Amino acid sequence: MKKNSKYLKLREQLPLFCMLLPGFLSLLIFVYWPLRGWAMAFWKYTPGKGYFSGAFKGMEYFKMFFTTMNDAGTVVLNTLSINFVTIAINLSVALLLAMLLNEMKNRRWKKVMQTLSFFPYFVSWSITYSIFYAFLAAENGAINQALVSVGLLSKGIDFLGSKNYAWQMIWLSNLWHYVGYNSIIFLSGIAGIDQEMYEAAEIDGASRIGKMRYITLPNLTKTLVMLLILNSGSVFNSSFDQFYMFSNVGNMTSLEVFDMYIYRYGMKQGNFSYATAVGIVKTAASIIMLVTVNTVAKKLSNTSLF
Amino acid sequence: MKLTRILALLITLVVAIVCIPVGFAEENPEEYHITMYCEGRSSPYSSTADTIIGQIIKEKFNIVLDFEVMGQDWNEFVNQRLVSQDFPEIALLRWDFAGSNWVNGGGALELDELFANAENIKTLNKSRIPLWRMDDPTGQNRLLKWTYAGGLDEAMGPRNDVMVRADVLKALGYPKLRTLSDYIDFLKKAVEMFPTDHEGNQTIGMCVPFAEAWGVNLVNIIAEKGSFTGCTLFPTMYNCAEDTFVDILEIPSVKEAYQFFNTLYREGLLDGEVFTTTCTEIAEKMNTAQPICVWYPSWMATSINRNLTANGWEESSYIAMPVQADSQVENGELRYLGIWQGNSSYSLTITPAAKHPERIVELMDYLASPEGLSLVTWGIEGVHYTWEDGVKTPTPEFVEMYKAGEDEYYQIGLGDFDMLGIPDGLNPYDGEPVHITGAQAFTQELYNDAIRETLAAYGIDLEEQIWNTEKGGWIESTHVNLTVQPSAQVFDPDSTEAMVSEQLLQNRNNYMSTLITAVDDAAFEAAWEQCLADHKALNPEICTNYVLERYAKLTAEYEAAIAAAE
Amino acid sequence: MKKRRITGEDIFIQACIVLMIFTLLFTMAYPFYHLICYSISDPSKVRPGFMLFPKGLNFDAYTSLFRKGGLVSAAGISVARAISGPALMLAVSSMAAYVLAKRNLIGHKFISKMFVFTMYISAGMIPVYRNIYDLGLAHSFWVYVLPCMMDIFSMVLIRTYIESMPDGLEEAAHVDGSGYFRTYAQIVMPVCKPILATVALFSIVAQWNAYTDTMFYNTSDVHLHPLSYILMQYMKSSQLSMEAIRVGAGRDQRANAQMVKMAITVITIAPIMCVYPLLQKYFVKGIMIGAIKG
Repeated sequence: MKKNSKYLKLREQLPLFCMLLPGFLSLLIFVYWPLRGWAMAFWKYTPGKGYFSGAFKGMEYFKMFFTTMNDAGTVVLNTLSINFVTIAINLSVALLLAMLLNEMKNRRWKKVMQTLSFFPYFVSWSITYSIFYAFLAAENGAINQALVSVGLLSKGIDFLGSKNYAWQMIWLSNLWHYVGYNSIIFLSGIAGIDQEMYEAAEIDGASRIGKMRYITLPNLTKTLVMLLILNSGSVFNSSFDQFYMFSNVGNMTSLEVFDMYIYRYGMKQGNFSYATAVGIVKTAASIIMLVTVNTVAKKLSNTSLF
Repeated sequence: MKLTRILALLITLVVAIVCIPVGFAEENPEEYHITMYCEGRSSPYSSTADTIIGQIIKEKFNIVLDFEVMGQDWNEFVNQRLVSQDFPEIALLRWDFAGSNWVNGGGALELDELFANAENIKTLNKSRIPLWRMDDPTGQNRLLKWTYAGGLDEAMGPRNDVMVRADVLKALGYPKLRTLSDYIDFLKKAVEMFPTDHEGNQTIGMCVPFAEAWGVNLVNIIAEKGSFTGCTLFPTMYNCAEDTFVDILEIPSVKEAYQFFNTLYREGLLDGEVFTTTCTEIAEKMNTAQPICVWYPSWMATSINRNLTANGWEESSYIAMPVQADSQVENGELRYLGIWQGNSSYSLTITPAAKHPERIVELMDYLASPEGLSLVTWGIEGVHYTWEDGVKTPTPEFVEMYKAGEDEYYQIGLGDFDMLGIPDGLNPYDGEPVHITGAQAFTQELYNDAIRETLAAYGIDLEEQIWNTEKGGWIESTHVNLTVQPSAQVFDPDSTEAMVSEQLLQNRNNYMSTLITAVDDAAFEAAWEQCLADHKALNPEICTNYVLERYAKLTAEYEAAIAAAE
Repeated sequence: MKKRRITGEDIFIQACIVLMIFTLLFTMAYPFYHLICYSISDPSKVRPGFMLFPKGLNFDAYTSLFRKGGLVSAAGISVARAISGPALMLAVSSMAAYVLAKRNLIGHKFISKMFVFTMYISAGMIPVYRNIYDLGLAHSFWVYVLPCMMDIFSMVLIRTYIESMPDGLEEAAHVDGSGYFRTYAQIVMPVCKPILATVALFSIVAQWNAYTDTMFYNTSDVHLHPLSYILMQYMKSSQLSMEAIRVGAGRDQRANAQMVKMAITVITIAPIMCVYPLLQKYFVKGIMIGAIKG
């Protein structure tokens, strides 16, 4: 009996599997198959030769990362501090922006504001840095000049060149870059909420803020939790272009993150085996984080990624 | 449904566009187009077929060079090509050819056979070929590469010292600036006399581009004003006077340089944004002559002076002044200007992907002949240059074209063939500078009146003569032949030396701002001690010993090769 | 429409909105304006910092760009990939999203994990690069659209959206005798228009701006260069190159590199900012109501 029903179920779901096939194959070919390249972390790799052709080194490169190089602590601390706060700030501000935009009555202004908020997403990090420089440079930046001329400061603050503000600059630039992008996702979620609920609430005499609290927000919870889970797996990644632009001699120590470190030893110096080993460590940590957050989310809110 | 139909139509259209062969250019099958990858290109003409000199070469050899700007880091490019074995026909490698994987990955054709009949190449590069052979990582002394360009030499004087405003020099009586202390006294007085620039901004004493990728070396570059050379990202420098390599932090002038910048900072003479300033921002500040002095990027002076003149502030033009550490002067240290024979910072190989390597070598041989060399570096006799009183001189028309900097100048196509083995320095066939822009008269043509006035006041004709007491300057310098020294500082990417070298660099980076922004002498000394302690904890002797051993080995090999050639 | 009295709450919300508008204008509109001013200023007059008006007028950054050849065919390639890439991605990813939204699928847990993990697993630059060559995709147009045809992030967004749809929709379709594919194409997808538009927008922008794939795989195929690649090369070539430093002792760059960068940014952003408001209408209405009632 059981065999029969399983077979029947399979036959019934066959069209579904056909629909899944292109995506599945794509992942196999483009993501899983190249993973054999991780052999570079275990066999010493020379560009131009095969992955398995070099001398076998076992866990040597992994040990190096945690012991002789002594960088693991700083790198992890920098990466996590920057990314946790970034996620928290980005999602909350984007949510706020989406709700405020939704409350706007004037359609034209709403369109303009939405378009404007999306503008930084297209700007390359190199230009983003120039814009930050125009505002925040220690002597010539607009903000410092304004504060000094009003008398609040005696000398400009070196936001961009000092380790004290390095993390804050990254948080701020991430917020600027992604707030429009994230708010669109929330807006799209709001657009899908049943208008009838709002009308019913109106009849019941709910205030605008009340509607936001009891209808909009709860309906967006699923989206918010999903975004949180998705971002949690990327909490060890960083945008290389961004860090390349924002780091300089003054704040380098605070901005040494995983991806910069891997690039420095990998592509720049040519030590691919070491860079791959650090990359594997990063991937393992990301997956662990992802699974943990997903499990917690499933227990607390019944929403999960998988 | 309408949407689906529209989408289907669009997709069909797209596929049609893509699949129809897009072959617009009528290509002559005999024309040999070689793609040359470069890091940047100022000329708007990306193909030599569009230039005057390129046309002449095309008529002779039917070869055209097409320049493609490399969008990525050169080592990223090189590593990727090794992995995919998808080589360009001619490959440009930077710096570490000797230790690189390029040869082992199959990227270099053996040139011995190809060069068998290339007499001109062999004559022109007689002293360089043994060095090129030594860069064969398998130790078999095969000829696999050639180099072009080079460092400083007799035709080009010392560069990249300090740029100083001419009007400030004038107001303070044309002092003969020399030591770091001289600059501190000078700047204190200068800032008092010139509190604002031409647009009312507060003047800055000294600007330094610390935010550049090579920014950390702007401190230890002071050693090169004395008897050291070889300022790279490696932790050692070469002492020309004593023929040995020394760890950077053990060079006395380096500590003095840190102290110099620290003093400037404490006196309020250092740019407040110095750690976030690149050459771009400095150029913008120089537009209104805001900095009194600028440390290092003296190549910007020509275009900045042009801007200042255009804005009516010619008197504030920037002129290059010398600098040395106090200890260097006290010890009577000479400045050594290196003539780089076998500079491996620009190596080229012909790869297995080359379709007609013999034709490439034929062209290279012509370029190494007296006629060819002169053509691609000076242009056409009578049009771009003439011989006057036995001196090769650019024509006035050419100088005007260069100054204007418009398409006309770029259409000549000077410098396009440099990568095919054009050396730097003096042309051995006629004793003149290899490049037309190196002619002495030419440099003088480019000076504006303010610069000429300043030079006259100091009693010299050219900025570089400051370093030549025989020509009226006040500092002595000398030349030294550098052969295997650059190759000595080359590390294998995954060796211990490489890892240690990277960590030492990071250490210097980490302490830089602490040292420069120390509040008083005690704080500076404490930071310095800590920096040294951390430095020693990383075992820098691993790198120093490696370099010394390698240098000894390479010197022996080179001497043997020279002896065998005779 | 009843006329409501203005409450204190209305004032508060309006104040927040006004504050938001000013912040956006200051932090987003001004920088765009700054870019435009800088890109048309005279290089010999620019100063670091804030700029209210361009300093001098100089259009070199734009004119020398437009004098370069090959822009039209490059634009053609850019348009081709900005259409075919997202089209393919939408088809593949939305189908996967539809299937994975069904929790009763056999092996759902395993398959779901397998899909989602790929967002966080990367073999590294060298293996991915070599893989493309091994597959024969280098030196072809397909390298622009095939590797990104399964976009997990988009898939998850669509799947979330589908899951928050009421079950009534699919049940109604099944009662009518519609198979899985028909349900997907004719019922579920039209309802997902808002999220599909969002996801398509991100994909179009990404395809329009992408140049690293050309840089890695197609440098020698000039007929496959998109506009973004040409712009990037132009920008790199106007930066001070080693050759200029070595030989020319400071050749005057025509329009300085910063200016070129800004000009390119303006050129790249302008078309997108024009297309974006047109797609906005899909975000606004709640389309669901009609489907359930009907």
